[in-house]
Order: sequence, then structure tokens, then C-alpha cells
Amino acid sequence: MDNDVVLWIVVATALAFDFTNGFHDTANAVATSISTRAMSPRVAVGIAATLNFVGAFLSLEVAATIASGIIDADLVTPAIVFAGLVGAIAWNLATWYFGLPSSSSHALIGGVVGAAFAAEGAKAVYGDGLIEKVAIPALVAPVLAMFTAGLAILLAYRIVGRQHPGTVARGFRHGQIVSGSLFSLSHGTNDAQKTMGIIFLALVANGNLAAGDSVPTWVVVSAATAIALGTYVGGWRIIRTMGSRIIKMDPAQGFAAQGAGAAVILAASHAGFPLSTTHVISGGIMGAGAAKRVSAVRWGVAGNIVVAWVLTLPAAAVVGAVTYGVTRLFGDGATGPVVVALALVLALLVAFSRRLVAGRTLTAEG
Amino acid sequence: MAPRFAQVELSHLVEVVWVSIAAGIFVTVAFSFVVLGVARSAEARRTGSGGMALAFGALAVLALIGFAAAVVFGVNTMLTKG
Repeated sequence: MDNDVVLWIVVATALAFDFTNGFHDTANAVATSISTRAMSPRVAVGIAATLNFVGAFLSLEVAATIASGIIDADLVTPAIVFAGLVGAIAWNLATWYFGLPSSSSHALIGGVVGAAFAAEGAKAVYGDGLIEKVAIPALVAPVLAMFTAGLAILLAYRIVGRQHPGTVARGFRHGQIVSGSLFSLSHGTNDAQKTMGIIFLALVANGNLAAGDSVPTWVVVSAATAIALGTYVGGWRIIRTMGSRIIKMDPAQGFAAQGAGAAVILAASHAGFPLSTTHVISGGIMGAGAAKRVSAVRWGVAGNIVVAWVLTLPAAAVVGAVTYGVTRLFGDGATGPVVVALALVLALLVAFSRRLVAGRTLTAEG
Repeated sequence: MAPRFAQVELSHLVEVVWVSIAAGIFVTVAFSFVVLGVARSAEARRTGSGGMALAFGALAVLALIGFAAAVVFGVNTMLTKG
């Protein structure tokens, strides 16, 4: 009975994480489209929410990596998964509060790894899986997006450079409807699957499923719905950082950044790498900006983002480990997760009441 | 066992790198030709150069087809594996 209570708390927390992932990472998908005025904020967020929902149904490769490639599923308990999720949500909320586009994916992986390490020691963590499936792609992806976007925008300027700037801007604004949509779709395929993987892991840990089973449909549908709702609610603070504080973009740069980002994420989803969509689009934006003029990139803001990237895995791991320790203070039953979950809900309520105020301000500004 | 695992992942990573570069650049270049074709076609129409307008219009259409095909191919490739 206690185990089932913990399982349902885990499922609810995982969906809450998915929701925060949606509103945290909305910026990735739509910030460039909004900042170049390719789409109004409401339309951009609406399209992103819809395509995040659709994208969640397209592939399950990343879910498989999360469920079985990073920690030992046989040693995992629902309490470990819960503590990891709390670590991820706490880090997401902290970086959201400061407007830093850190990685929800790495927060999730860090939180679960930290909690598993605290509970079972090093034997619970697949070191090689963590390095090869998370750390190396995490280093490669932003650089890859930066290089691709940079090269793409240089070629684009060479092709359209002698045309009237207004005509070129108008053309690429139309193109950004497609590139932004493609990026939203790729975000749904990669990010919603992480939550599916976590819920699947909890169901296996609780004995409801075997490790070789497929992901149940209700898990796919609920994860898709949560990320779409979160996306629609939107993360306006981070939209500001992504859309205008790294560089002031023209529509061609926005198109190149989104096109390169979508290409990287779709290719990575195909291979089963749980990439950070935030890292990818940030790299794309920096590449598109630096290719035009290195000084166009606000490297101070970019530096803050890199610091947040570096801190995400260890910080979420520490919070995950501490949360596991706190839940264990209340014994093996459901009391610990219930207490922590209530505290988390309270924190989310406080955070959202402030977010709504910030959202109104930005929308009014256009 | 571990080295074999590493090799498999590395080959996937290399695939992701070259596919991303090729696709990312192709999509932007193709759409740039759409913009170029539309702009030059409109300009040619204004100056009364019907042949040039037609040629650049055709360039825009072909580039748009290439751009759309790349988008559909990318999504479809992922669907077939997933």
C-alpha cells in the first residue's frame, strides 16, 4: 500500500517536472521567433505547445536511455526516483527564477544519479553510460549547433546579401514559422521522453512492469499533455534571455539557429541521446551571432549560461541526494515523500504566482 | 564489454555530428535560395524582365521543394526508428 502511494507521488512529481520542463524550455523553441517578430508571443507559444504534444509521440529511444542506460534499474526504488525528480525540479525553479536557461534534462539526470548514489553507492550508477550518453553529447551538442548555425548563416548572407534587407527579413520571418515549429517538434521528441523514461523506471522499481516491457500508452499521453500544458503556460523570463540578451538577432540568424538546433536534436533523438535542448539552441544562437560579428554576442550573458550548464548536473545531484536523505528521515514508508511533495507543491504555487506577473509584463511589451 | 559499448556509442555520435551539420546547413541554404528567388523574381517583374522573373520564380519553387523535402525526410527518419 505504502509502495503504491510512493509510486503515485512519483508519477505526479514526474508530470510536475514535465510541466516545469515545458514552461522552462518554451524559450528554446519560441524565443528567437518572438524576438525577430516572426510570430506574436501567444501564437508562438500556442504552436510550440501543440508541436511539443505531437513530438512526444514520435520516438521512444531517449526514454529507453533514461530508463536503462544511466543507472541500474534493479537497484532503483520509487523513493530514489522521487528524490531525483525533486532535485531536478528544485534546480529548474532556481534557474528559472534567475532567468538562466540551464538544462532540464541534465537536472533530471543529475537528480536521479545523485539520489541513486546516496541510496546505493557508486554501484547504482553506470559511469560509462553517464559519460558516453550524457556528458560527451552535452559537450558536443552546443558546439555542433554553434558551428552549424555559424556556417549556415554565413552561407545565407552570401546568397541573399545583395537583396533588399526588408525583403530578406520578411522572407526569413516566414521561414521561422517552419524552423520554430520544427524545433518545437524536436523538443517534444527529446524532452517529453525523459519523463516517460522516469515514470517507466518507477513502474519497474515498484514491480508493475518488467524492464523489457514497452512504455505504456497512458505514460506517453500524460507526459505529452504535461509538457504541452507547461509550454503553453510559458517561461517568459527565459524567453527574454534567449531571445534578446545573448544577441540581437535578425530573422535570418533566428532561422539558422533554429534550423541547426532542430537538426542536432532530431539526429540525437534518433540515436537515443538525451540532449539538452537548451544547450543546443543557446549554441545555435551564439553561432549565428558570432558568425556575423563576434562582438554581437553578449559574452557576459553567455558566460553566465555556461556556468549554469556546468553547475546543473552536480547541483541537481546534490539536491537529489539530500532529498533522498530527508525522505529517509521519516522511515521507509510514504510519509517522507508525502511531506517533501507537499513542500514542493507549496514552492511551485509561490513560483507560479510570481511567474504570471512576469508573463503579463512581457506580453504587454510585445 | 565496456569498450564495445563505447565503440557503438561513438559511431552514433559521429553519425549525429555529420547528419546535423549536413541537415542544418542544407535547410538554411535551401531557404536562402527561396528568399533569393522570390526577391529577384519580384524585382525582375517590376523591371519588365519576364524571362528572368520566370527563372528566379522556378529557383524559388525548386528550393522550396528541397527545403520541404528535407524537413519531411528528417521527421520521417526519426519516425521509422522510433
